[in-house]
Amino acid sequence: MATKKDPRDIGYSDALAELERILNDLERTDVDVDALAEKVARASELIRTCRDRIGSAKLQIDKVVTDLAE
Amino acid sequence: MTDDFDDDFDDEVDDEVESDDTTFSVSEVAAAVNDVLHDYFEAGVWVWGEVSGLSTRNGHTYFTLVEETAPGKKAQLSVNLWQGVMTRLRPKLRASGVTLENGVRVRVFGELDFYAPFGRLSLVVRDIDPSFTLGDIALQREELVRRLKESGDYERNRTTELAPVPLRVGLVTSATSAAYADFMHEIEGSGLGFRILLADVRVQGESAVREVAAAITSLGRRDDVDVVAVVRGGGSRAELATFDAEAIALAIARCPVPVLTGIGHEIDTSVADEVSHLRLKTPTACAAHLVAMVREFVDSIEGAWSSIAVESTRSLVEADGRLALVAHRISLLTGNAVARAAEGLEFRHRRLTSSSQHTLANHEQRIDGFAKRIELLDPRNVMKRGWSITRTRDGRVLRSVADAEPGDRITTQVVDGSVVSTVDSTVIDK
Repeated sequence: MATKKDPRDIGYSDALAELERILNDLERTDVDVDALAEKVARASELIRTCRDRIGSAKLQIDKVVTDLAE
Repeated sequence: MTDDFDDDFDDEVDDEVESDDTTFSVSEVAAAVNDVLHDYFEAGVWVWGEVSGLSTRNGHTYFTLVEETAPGKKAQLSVNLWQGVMTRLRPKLRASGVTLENGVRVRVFGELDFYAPFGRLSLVVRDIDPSFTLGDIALQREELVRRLKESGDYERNRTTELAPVPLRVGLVTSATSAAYADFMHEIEGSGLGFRILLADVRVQGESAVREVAAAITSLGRRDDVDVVAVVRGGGSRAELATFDAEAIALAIARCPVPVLTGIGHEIDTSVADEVSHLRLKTPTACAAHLVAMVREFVDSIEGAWSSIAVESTRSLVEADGRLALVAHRISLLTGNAVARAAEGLEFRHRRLTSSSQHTLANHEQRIDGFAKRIELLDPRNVMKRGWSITRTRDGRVLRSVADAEPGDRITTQVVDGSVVSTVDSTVIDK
């Protein structure tokens, strides 16, 4: 984990990939406790970011579909 | 007059012929000759020969009967045909179509008479045999036709090709004849653009053969003549015999353009007719044939034009119909295509909505999954269940009894804060 980007600047698929990596790390038994909280915090940020993205995509799609239907 | 003369000297002459020493006066010899002739020929004599030097004076007809005895040698006899006899014979001649003219061969019956005032022997005609002349004409014709067939001239003119629109006509006839008037009447009545080039010739008489033949030959040499028409009105059979002449037959046969004939009336056929490209019965029929040919051509051209017009119109209508059909099909297909496109679009629209929603839902589920897994790993949740983390003064996580000694201050982190304590003793599990 070289540089941590601001989750607002990260792409959705990159965010997903990072999440996947973090989970894999955390689910190993030898995970360092010190790293644990930090990783969980990062994962939580990423999850929030993804949810935001999904939410805004939903809104946009709804708008476009509604426009098409009219 | 002659008879009186004969009677006067009849006895004297008879008596004195027997004596060798008797001397005759001229008139006595003449009377004696006549006596002998009458005795010898009795009622009369038939004589045949070719008419030559024909003339008429005071109603009487005079000519010479000539016989060619050997090439360049001939025998001849004067003939007198008195007016009274001629009047009697004329209906017979007319009925048979024979005309007395130079060159015609005749068989005549009469009495020989030595006419003392002129010292000339003549045949005084009492009768004529037209069938001889007719037979002779026929014989000559047959002979000519045989020669023409042998030389190939008989069919020659028929091998020329008649132009489909024979408008330029070389006309051979007499300008003052009814034949000319009839021919021109028909041509002018047609209203078609004929151009008539007239060769004005004599069609009877001595120069007729030469003139007609020369006219045909000369017209045939021109390059502005499509067809030559030789026409002549009906005449006696002997008159029409001009057109049995070899010179005319050859001129027609060897003419490079087709020659049509309209000579005489229906029953007459001349050698000229036989060798011509086409024989028509009369001058009018001859002209009518040319008119019909041109008219047929004009009609066929007009027919062709109208066929073209009809065909063009039909093609246009057909093309128009095809176009309308195609247009209809296009509009139908276009309608269908648009409808299909609209359907497809509607389907995609629905798919767009549902699939995007589906995708988003998938992602939500996935994220929710991640969230649950994170939650499980969150140390605070572990601490909620009573677990804690103890660190040494320098912040290292206390993992072993060996990491602490009595008197060390340690900090224990629990879910809602930290507990700071001092180590009293350490015990190693056994």
